[in-house]
Amino acid sequence: MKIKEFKIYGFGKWKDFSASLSGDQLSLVTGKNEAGKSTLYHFILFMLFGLPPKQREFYLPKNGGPLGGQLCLETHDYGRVIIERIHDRDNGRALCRLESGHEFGEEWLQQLLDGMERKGYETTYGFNADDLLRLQHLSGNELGEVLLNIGLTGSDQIYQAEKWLQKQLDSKFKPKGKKPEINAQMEIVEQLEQKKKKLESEEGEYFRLQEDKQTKVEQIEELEKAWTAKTNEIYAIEQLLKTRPLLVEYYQMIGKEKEQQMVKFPEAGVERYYQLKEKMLPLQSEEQLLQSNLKELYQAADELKEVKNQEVLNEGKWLHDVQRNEYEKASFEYDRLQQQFEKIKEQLKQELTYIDAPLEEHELEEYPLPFYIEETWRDLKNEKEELDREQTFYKEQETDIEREFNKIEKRKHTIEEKRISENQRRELEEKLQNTYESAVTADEGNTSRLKKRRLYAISAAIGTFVVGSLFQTITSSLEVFIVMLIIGLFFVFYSYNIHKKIESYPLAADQLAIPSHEMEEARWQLQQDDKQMTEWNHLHEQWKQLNQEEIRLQEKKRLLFQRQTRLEAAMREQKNLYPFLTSLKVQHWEKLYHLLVHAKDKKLELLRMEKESQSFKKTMKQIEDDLRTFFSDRKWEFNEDNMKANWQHLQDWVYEQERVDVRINELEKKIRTVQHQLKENTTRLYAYYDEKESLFKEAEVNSEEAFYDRAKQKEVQQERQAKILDLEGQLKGMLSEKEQRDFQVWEAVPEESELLSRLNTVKLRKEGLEEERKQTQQSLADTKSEISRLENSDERSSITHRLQAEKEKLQRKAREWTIYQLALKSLEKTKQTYKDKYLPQVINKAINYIIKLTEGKYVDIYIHAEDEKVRITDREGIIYLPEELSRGTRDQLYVAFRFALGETMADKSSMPFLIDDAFVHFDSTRLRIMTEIIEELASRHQVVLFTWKGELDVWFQSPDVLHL
Amino acid sequence: MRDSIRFIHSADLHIDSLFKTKGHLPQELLEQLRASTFEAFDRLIDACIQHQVDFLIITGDLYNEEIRSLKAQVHLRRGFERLQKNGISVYISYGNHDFVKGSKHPIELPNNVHIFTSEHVSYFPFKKNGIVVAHIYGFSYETREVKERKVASYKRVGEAAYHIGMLHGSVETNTEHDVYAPFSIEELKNQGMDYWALGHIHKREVLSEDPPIIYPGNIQGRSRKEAGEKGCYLVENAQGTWNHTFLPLHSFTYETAIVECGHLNSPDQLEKALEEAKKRVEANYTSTMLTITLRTDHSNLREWKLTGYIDEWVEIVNATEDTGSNEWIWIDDVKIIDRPQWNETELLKGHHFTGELLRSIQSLGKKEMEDWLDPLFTHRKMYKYVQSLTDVEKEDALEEAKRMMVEHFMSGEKRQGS
Repeated sequence: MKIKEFKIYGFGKWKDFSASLSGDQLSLVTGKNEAGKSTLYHFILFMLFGLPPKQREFYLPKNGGPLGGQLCLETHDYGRVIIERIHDRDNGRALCRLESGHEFGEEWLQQLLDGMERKGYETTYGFNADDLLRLQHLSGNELGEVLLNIGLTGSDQIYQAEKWLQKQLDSKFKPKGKKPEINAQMEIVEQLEQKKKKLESEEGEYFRLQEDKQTKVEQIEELEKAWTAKTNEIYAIEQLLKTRPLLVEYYQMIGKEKEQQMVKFPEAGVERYYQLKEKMLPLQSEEQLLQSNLKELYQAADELKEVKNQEVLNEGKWLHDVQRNEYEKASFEYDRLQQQFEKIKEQLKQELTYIDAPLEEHELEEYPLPFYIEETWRDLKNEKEELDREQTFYKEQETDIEREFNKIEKRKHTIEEKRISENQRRELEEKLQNTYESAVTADEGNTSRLKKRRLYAISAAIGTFVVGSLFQTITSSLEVFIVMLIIGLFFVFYSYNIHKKIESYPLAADQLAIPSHEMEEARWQLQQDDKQMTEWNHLHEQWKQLNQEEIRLQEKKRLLFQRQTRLEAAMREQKNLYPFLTSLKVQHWEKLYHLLVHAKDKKLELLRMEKESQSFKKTMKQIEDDLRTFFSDRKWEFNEDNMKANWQHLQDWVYEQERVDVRINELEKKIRTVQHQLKENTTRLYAYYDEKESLFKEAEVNSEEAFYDRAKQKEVQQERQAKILDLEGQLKGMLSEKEQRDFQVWEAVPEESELLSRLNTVKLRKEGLEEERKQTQQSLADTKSEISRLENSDERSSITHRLQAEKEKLQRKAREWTIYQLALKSLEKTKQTYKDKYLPQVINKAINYIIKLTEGKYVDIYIHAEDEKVRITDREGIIYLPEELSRGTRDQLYVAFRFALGETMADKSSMPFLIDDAFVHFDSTRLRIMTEIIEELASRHQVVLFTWKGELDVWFQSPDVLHL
Repeated sequence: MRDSIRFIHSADLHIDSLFKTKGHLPQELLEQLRASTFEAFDRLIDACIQHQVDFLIITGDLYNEEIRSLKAQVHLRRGFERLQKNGISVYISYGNHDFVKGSKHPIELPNNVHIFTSEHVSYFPFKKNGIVVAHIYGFSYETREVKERKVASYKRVGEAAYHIGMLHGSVETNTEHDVYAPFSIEELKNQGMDYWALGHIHKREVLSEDPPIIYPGNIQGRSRKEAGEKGCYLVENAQGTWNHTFLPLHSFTYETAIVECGHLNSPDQLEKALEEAKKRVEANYTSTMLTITLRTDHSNLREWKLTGYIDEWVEIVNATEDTGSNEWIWIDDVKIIDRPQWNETELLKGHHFTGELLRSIQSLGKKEMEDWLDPLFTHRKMYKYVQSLTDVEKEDALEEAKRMMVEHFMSGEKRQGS
């Protein structure tokens, strides 16, 4: 890209000025100072890059007119391009016109300029004297780095920017600093944060305080309780001190009471004793009375007892009461038996007479008459009678049989006479036989045949009826049934005919007997004979039977005889045994037996009676003996004959004796009564004695005197005990139960000194409690006020909000720092990239330039790997740091770098170089070299050199000079 | 005919919340900001008493963070005690910012306050003259997060004229906030509640009129993002119709204003631009934290920002405000929208140093950037107090660094200045 023409409408001192530049050789713009070279330089830049309004105002034409102009460029891609800018048109924005007539704006222009902006262009393609001047101000240390930056961007901008950013960053934050804004802000935040934490924990404290408050309230309650307790205790001790004298007295009493044992004395003993005595007195006197009575009674009884002999009396009484009775009974019985004996004896005698058998009275006893004898006798009698009867019967039978025999014989005889002979009979029979045989053979065949046919006909009739009715039921065919019925009827009729024939047959047979009357005769004769014969046979049978009967009868008769013989024998035996039977027929024996038995009983009765009366006699004798003995013992006269008188005597005596006994009994009864009374009395007395004993025992004494003494002792003791109780009551009234318990008053008398000291201690403790309570109350008030303070405290909120504000401020500052930090870091990074990319080329080119510029004095430039600073080597091989060089050489070095960079950049995008009095201070030698270099550069790129040195053109071979 | 009912529905009190401010605030103003959430709460209580409501509902996030400041707790207690004196019940559920287990030392609240303490949905009956008028359902966050859907657990129980559901969570489709206890509007409508008292979203919104499903928003804006009026809803049902009225409670609002500055040539003109921005929000008749955006095509604003002109002017303008009064407008931040004076695309292509610089920045890796920033952000003390920058913030910073460097290399002034 080359600048071909420019037209200034107005810019600074320039107005309506135009010129064209050669693009192929060096363009030299010369003019004196203030000729407007710089303005022209700025105009070109303005055309290319524009200017902010304020800066544009700076270039407003002094004498009016529009600010603006045109710049004609020769470009590779678009040919000629005219750029126009007018100050008050579109805010000074560029208008680009192409040869084609197309118009473009600012953006297009920027693209054309490879996105390069003014600053970059100036530092890369522009040179002016100021650049070198500024180099002078750099310290040696900075120089190397600045030179490097110049090598990269053609200026120290990077360096300056880095420096500025670093300064900003340092002012904001240093990791270990305190003063930088952020550090300082953080301090503030930290302090607030701590304060906030403290306040927060204080709020945590709030809840602890609440608990504390509760605890203290409870504590105060406790203290109140304790205080009340102490107050009560003081009162109690004081009360105790007051009651102490009573207590002392009480214990003295108790002491005495303990010394003496408990006096044992019954309750109301004396009174009871008196009462007892009063009750005993009458009893005692009565006892004495009874005793004397008893003595008298004993005396009287003893006297009577001497008179009375109990044994004799008992014997006499026994004789009188028992034996006399016995005797009289026996005597009576004896008499009665005598009478009875006589009577029965008479009866027996009569009975024997009645029997009228050779039998004596005494013999009765000899014959045993067992019961079976009666039977034997009866059997004998019966047998006798039966045998007699049978004998009669058999006799009658014998006669009957005899008569029967005769009758039968007679009849038999009659029949035998009437009968025909055997031969006659045989003839008659033969005759009859022959006739019968012919008749029977004819009849019997006919009849049986007919009977057969009748059977068949009936069967056929029944069969037809059955079949007919079957058909009727199966086929319901009336015709067939009727036909069958007709057939059946026919068979019935046929069979009936046959039957009739059969009926008529016998008639036919009769008609067949030919010699009838003869036959009848014969037959009648035969029949008569048969009858005869039957009768005879019958008779004969009867005869046989009779015969047998007769035999049986004979047999029976024989048997009867045997029985008669046996009976005789039996009768004989009986007669031997009982000889008196001989006089009697056997028929009376049975009756005799009864009479005998009766008589024998009587006899036996007599014997028994005799015995009994003997026994009575004996009893009487014994009693008589006893009585006699008794009489003789008493030396009483015993009347042998008159037992009655004896008994009377005895009776009188017994009665007398018995009266004495009664008296004695009466006395004894009296004695017993008295004794009983005495006993009762004594019992009652004993009860009182016991009571008295128990009273004495209770009082542990033996005598009445001791008892009264003990009573007195008891009285004293009771009085004392009452006193003790009284004291106890008083004490209990004066001291509460708790006090009694606490001070153990019932165990010992509390020591007065001890009580007083305790009183003191308690009083002190009470005061202590009061103090403590006061303090706790104060503390509670404090806690409450602290709670209230916290509840009403705004501090935490306030601090938190301030902290928030300060934190936000810190955050803002951090963000600002971030921006600077990012700027610096990306700058550093870019620098490194850029260095890697372009520095080698730039250095190479710079070496060429420095060799030329120093005419071979310095031969090499390099960047030290570590400090990244420029080093330069002279032809001797000595290495220098830029600050070690002379000023001139430093300028040369700068120029070398600038040209090297410019060329390097121009290789990428060719731009016109604008050099403004850059070498004004160079000496002629260096200037010549410089011009050579510029001329060489101009051969490759457009170079516009602004200079006040008008003579400079001679230095160049063919410059295109524009003289202003 | 149902009994009429009147209550206030609020949520997200964030008592003693911290404020995101951009510039440096004078102590006086900082105090006002700090007091604002408390004041808003006091106004909430005043409103309850003034309107003689039956009860007050607060659906979660009463406190700002899990560490509840004692001041905040005591303040709430006193407020609720005032309601107790006026016979007004309070129903509270806790949200993700004041979840139950996060509270170390909860102080006791008066017994007119009914708190849902479990994560399971339960209900409190509300009685009026001894008759149960409403069942109020709800649950509290036991831990910081409740991710599951809770709506299905809201089941009408028993006989009550009104069934009111308190739910601290967000519509499932909401992507701006952390989605807690997600739900869909349809789902809510299907539960048979008469009123849904929602919480969690700080921007008030009526999601549905029948049944009313309402986010009352928070009661005091705390940053530029929570702009506009803030307060609660006064809800009433009389003759079977629901009415809800918004009651502002805030102490001040956050607002933004954009001013075109293309015509500005000199920094002196900034004052006018700033005053113009303030005029726009004056009509609100409330104290305002104002964020101003200056827009231009030129680069001068950025230059003025860099050179500190803008901050100076903001300071001057703010100084004229009486921050002790009830109505002030404080310029909190000034943002600039402009365009650079150079063409980055062209510069990127160039072989010059600037081109190389842009390429370097463009190809800058995350790790490398972090390494560069480590000296500050991982500083043994700093890291505790300085938050690491988000990627976006880093990008922003890098962009600013880039602009600074490019402008530096393009203008000679810095060089001259140094």
